[in-house]
Amino acid sequence: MAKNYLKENIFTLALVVLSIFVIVNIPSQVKESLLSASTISPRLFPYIASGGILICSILNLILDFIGMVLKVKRGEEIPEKKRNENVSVYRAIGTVALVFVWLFILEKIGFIISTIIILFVLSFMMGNRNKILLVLFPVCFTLLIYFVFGELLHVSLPEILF
Amino acid sequence: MLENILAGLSGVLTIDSLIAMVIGLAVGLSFGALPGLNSTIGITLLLPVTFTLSPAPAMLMLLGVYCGATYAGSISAILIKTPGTPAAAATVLDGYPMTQQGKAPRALMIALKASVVGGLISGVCLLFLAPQVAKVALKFGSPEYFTLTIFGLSIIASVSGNNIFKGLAMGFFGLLVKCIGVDPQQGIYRLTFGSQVLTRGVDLVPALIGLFAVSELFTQCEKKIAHLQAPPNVTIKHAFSWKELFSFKFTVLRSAIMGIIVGACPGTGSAIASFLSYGTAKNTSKHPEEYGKGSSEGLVASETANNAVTGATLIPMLTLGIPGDGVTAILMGALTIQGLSPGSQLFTKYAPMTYCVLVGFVVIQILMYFMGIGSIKLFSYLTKIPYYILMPMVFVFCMVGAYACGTSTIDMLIAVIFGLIAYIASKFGYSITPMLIGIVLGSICEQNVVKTIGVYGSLSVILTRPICLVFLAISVVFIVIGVRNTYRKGAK
Repeated sequence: MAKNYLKENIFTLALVVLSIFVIVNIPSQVKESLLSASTISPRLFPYIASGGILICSILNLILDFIGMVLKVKRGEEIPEKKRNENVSVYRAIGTVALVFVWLFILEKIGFIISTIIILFVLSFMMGNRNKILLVLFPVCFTLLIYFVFGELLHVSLPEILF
Repeated sequence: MLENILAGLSGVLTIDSLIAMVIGLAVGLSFGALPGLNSTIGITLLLPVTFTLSPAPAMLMLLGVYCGATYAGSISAILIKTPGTPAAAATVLDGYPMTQQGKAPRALMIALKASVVGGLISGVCLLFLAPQVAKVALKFGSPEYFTLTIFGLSIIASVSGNNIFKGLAMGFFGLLVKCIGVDPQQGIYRLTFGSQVLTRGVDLVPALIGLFAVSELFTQCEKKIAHLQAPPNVTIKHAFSWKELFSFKFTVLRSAIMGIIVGACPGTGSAIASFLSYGTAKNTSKHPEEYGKGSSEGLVASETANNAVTGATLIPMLTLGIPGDGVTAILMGALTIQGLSPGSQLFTKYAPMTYCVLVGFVVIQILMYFMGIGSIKLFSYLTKIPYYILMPMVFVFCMVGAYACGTSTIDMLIAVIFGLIAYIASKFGYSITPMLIGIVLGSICEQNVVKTIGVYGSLSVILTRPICLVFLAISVVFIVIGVRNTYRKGAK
């Protein structure tokens, strides 16, 4: 039961940790008001926001726990979260890693090359097996975006560094 | 007044004015539908073109961009779950579920027709009631704005899903995000952790792109290839009739009034109007359980309100010379460049030109309907693209849009981080809408608390002002209704 409870509430626990971290760090991260006492402290809203997250998350954890205990007492089975066979979290983790790699190399090898690479990989990952399309789509779309933003809208996209 | 209106109409129906409106609308529809681009960028790009035009066509061209972009934000919100503009953030909530159910044509036509009607009501109000509305808007001080944001935040109770504490936690998370950066009162850095990057805070557009578009990419990528969602088919014939829209007459009227009130108050914005209207419609609906799952009424409410804002934002600008947001500030700049200054002179000395612009605003809404149908057909081709091409394309486009906001890869990083948060949060039953409301309203709420305490000494002043009391009372009612609905849903 405890394992299931923790599994179901990882995000809520993460919010608790985040809010405690913010509350502890507010005194060092936000200087106290320099003006008169009639003005509100710049720490007020960060305290309200992080305090609100903490209270709501704890209440959520407590209510979830009570619900689970009541179910056990009544002899009801706690339904295991069904695993969706069509979904793979590893694919999502791979995509997240890929996006971070793209952001990392974007400023190093420039927009055009890095974007062609990520479009190729993403398209392949999502099921594109047409060899011509796999090559043509990333190249054409990247050049189109570069032209529209760079030339027409004068947004200077990252250039190659060497 | 009737003479002025007729003179304005004859001024609008000239080739110059009509071409200006069509060009403005075309630019607006394109910029609004593309995530990351918005009416401000469109107007800025067209501004130099207006230098060579006479005042009325120049203003009509820019107003075309403004109205077109505000409406078109809904197209990408409905088709690819990415609001083209912040104004369309509430449109995603019911628009995208409709697309998933194969009702994309209906959703697109609802958005178009509700937008046109919202814009028309707002335009008529601008034409006949501008001075009166401006007087009401002037009564809004910081206590009223503060209670208006409280009203907005009370909507969180209705959009929290099955668990109100999860919704509230996400709402506070949104508020916390807006605390990062510079304090609005004294310019003190908050929660920057020594990072130069965090000193500028979190912009709304990269956050929006992350919460909707990037999280959707992660969701689609986790599916195994054979189970990817099939793209919807869009044929707009008989998708949603005017008669059907008439069945939502009370929702339309209420949303338009809310949009006009919010729009007439400088510094608020259409995103707030659409969320307020959406929440009100849900709380007063006979079928609140349909909201968030593809409710036509929810879509009508958000789209009518955000377009009703467009005409109303012009009221304080034209009558008092107060620009409510970035777009109206540029519009005011365009007026000044033409040698005109906002205020009473516009309605006396320059009445023919002013009424030409006001009547033109109404005509723009009618033109927008026909051009909107064309743009729906054009953008609907997007849905025919296979998902393995469309999703990477939308992702890169959105990321470049986020980059364009501050010409910095940091905005792209912010979008990815928000995408990750939204993706993980949704896995644990947390709704991202309360977080979005927190982000949209957080800074406005804080600014007005600071102003209220600075001017009146304490927040207790809100208990002595009638408008504040009305907002507070409505907020309490909405919270009670929201909690009751959530409890009932949980009990089921």
